[in-house]
Amino acid sequence: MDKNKPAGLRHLAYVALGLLIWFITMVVATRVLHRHPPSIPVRIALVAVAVVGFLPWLISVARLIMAQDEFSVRVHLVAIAFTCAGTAVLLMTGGYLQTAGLLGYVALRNIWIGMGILWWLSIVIASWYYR
Amino acid sequence: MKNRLKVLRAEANWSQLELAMRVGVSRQAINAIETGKYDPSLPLAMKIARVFDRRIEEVFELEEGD
Repeated sequence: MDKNKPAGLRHLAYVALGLLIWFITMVVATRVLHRHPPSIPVRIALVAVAVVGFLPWLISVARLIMAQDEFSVRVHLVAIAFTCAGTAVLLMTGGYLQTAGLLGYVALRNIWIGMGILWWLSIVIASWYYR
Repeated sequence: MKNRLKVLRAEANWSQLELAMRVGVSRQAINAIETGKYDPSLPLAMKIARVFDRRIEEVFELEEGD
């Protein structure tokens, strides 16, 4: 396992770098978009910058997970499956609550914040189940 | 799938962590296999059998319904 330590650190460094890229592109894109630039191509480009800036972090996390042993990969895959199912249930619930007039406007960004929370919860639950 | 991991580990006087390091997985993986919550892949099962110097069927056994 010792020989895997440098690889593990390298993956963590990629995650940190991905996080930095995500943060910078998110701040830049959000700030400029909030000024409502009139040009549609500029707005599309800013959206692309924000989305593409998110991908390195996503890929680095996937690579970090896949670099772990098969059991840890299983735990993460179970957690991701729970997250997808949980997000679907949340979206459906939110949709019906809006149709029923019990829930107002919800910003789309709240979906992935909820997904992140669900992901974390799912990892905790999956780890606890396999303990 | 049943396994004799705990018995073999006790005979070898190895902790879960020691076995985990020998086969290159986490201690949690060994614990999950021992408690029957996780069935290892064929390569991992073969690695485990190899560190105990046993044949794979001496360590792992199919149960009815598997």
